[in-house]
Amino acid sequence: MLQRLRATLTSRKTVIALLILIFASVLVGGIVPQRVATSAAELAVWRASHPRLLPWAERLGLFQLFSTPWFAALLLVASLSLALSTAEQCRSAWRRTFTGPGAGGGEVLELPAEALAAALRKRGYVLMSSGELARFVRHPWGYWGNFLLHGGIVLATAASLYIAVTQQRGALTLAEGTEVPPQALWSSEERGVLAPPFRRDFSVGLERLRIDLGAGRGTQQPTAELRFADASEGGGRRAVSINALLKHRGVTIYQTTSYGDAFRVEFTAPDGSVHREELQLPFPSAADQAGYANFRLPWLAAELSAKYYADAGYRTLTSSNPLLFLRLMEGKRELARVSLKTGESGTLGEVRVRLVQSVKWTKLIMVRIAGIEVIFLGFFVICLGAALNYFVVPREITAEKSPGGYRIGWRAARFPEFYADEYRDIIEEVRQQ
Amino acid sequence: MIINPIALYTGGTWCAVLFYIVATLCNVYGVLFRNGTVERRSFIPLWIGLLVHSSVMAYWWSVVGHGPYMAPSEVLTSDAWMAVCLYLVCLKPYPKVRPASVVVFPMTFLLLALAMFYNPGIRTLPATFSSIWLIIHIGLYKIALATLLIALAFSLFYLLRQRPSPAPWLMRLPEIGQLDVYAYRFAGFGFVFWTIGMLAGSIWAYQSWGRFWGWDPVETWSLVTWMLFGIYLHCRRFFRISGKAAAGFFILCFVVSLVSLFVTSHMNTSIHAEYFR
Repeated sequence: MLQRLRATLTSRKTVIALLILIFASVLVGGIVPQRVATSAAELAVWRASHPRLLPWAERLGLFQLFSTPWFAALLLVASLSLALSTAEQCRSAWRRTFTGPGAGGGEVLELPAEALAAALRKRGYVLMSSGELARFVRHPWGYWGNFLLHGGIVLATAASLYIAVTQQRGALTLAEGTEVPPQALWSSEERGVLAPPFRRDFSVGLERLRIDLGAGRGTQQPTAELRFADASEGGGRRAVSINALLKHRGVTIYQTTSYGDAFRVEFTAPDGSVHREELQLPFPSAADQAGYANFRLPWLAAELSAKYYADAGYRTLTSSNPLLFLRLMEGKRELARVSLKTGESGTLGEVRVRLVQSVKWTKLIMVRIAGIEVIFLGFFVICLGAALNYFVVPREITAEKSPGGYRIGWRAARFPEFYADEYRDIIEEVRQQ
Repeated sequence: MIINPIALYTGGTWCAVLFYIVATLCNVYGVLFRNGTVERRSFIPLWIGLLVHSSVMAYWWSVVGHGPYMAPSEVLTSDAWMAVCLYLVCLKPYPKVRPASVVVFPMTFLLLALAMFYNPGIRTLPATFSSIWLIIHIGLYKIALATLLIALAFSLFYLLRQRPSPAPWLMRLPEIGQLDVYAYRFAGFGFVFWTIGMLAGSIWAYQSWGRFWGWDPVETWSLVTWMLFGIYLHCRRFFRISGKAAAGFFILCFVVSLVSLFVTSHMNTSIHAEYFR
């Protein structure tokens, strides 16, 4: 029973059918927008424009295809098939490397044995076995390409699945001078189905956000200088920037591309109530360009549209004198506008506004995952296997003493037509000697 | 005298395009009309074109301060450069690749000319691009495309040659079985480079965003292409698919790879789109 199951799972037809099914599923996932990578608005547009497909898409879970039970089941069967095939490929690679084919076949040629061995050695053939049947192999490690390629895929897939169900990710938005205690909620959080809620066991504060402008080429490299409260355990002050991640107490911290100026604004409504808001706007890409964001404030009926320039004089991005523009919008209609520098006041329709302070802000991503090293090891093994498979194709020459000379057998593990010239050249070279 | 860098870049690129056009005309004439001398001499304007092309790319790199992977014009220019370089590199170990020039040469000048229809403005390099994994990721996709171009040439040759009465110039190409095996071999090379490029991109994503896979449209389509090539290679190996069916299958794979490389990166839902706008 087990043998039959094993044979079915590793049969060529099953393998190709599984490959086609996964290919078709991923293709559908590439065409139908996925919740994980699409905004709610874009998803709504797709839904509205495909009313006929919608019931099927909902029933089959096509909007979160890669986390549906049927896709997980398909992956599981494919992984099992792949793991069994890999084990078989390992045995096959061992056999081919150390045992090789038996004698027989080939052509009987009158060749000097010494000259043949010398010509083969010159071309990189290694003597793998001698005696009655001498066996020379060029690139014997190429036999392991298939095993490594498929083994790497098994490794990377297994580690990916483990990470998918156990990972914890959280995003924190910090303004300069603020500190977030361990129990504070994430601004957004996602975790695998087997992972508990993501809790930090440290508090973190943003002391300063430094934005390096790469030698006038417009490149911006933000660096967040963080302060951890648990100084006794490797905390204290540490910096994180894009592509220079930071590890702290088992948590990996990433600087994101979301950063800019946070404007602390005091609004006085017509009824006299005072509302202090922090408006976080993205950093502009140039001194003469603005950073934009829209806000919905619970106490304000209209939408608040904000933009700012890093310098009120539009000359530099490193100024400490930004210029903030606020507009009250009702749909596309502008109701009122005001521009403010730090410390200035103005009116926005019937609301009094004062720009109290501006500081830098940034968004950090914190991740706790185990197994990423296994994924990267899997990647390395895949690359090694693929390269061995296609770049170093093993070729074998066997020489068996027989009446009238040697019976020479030749074969290439793959692409024999491609290497046929090599065999002919060797024989020609030996004959000429 | 102040030289406008964009004018110099555009002028230099058009100059390279002209050399490539001359090389293509000579090469196609030489191959089609079996004139070996003209075919051999077509490599002279090709090398001059490559020299101009390389100089223009190096100059633009110094102007914008980053490699050719930001603006669409830079991407297409470097793809064309890689196609011609890889072809020339392959000539030494695989001399039978030579007739692939009738596909590689015109594709080179077409890619380069297409690049000139995009605004070559100086783009800001996002901080996430300052990673060695990016260079590996993008570089290997370019090599993969160049390799697949050679496989495409052999697949097309096969389809033309297997017709009942093929044109006389096709009879000068390697014999039909060899055309098939060369297409298979270079598809395999392309698969390897595509694999490493895709995995390098995954490592880069982990380094920059803390996730190695996000089902972004570009990632998904890259995986779709990889799987399609996987099916193609399995079919060839397990089911001994060869000849006309294999050539047709490869052309489908090539078209999907073009969609992955040039169409999906412009999708608004892709994280890659912000770099190509």
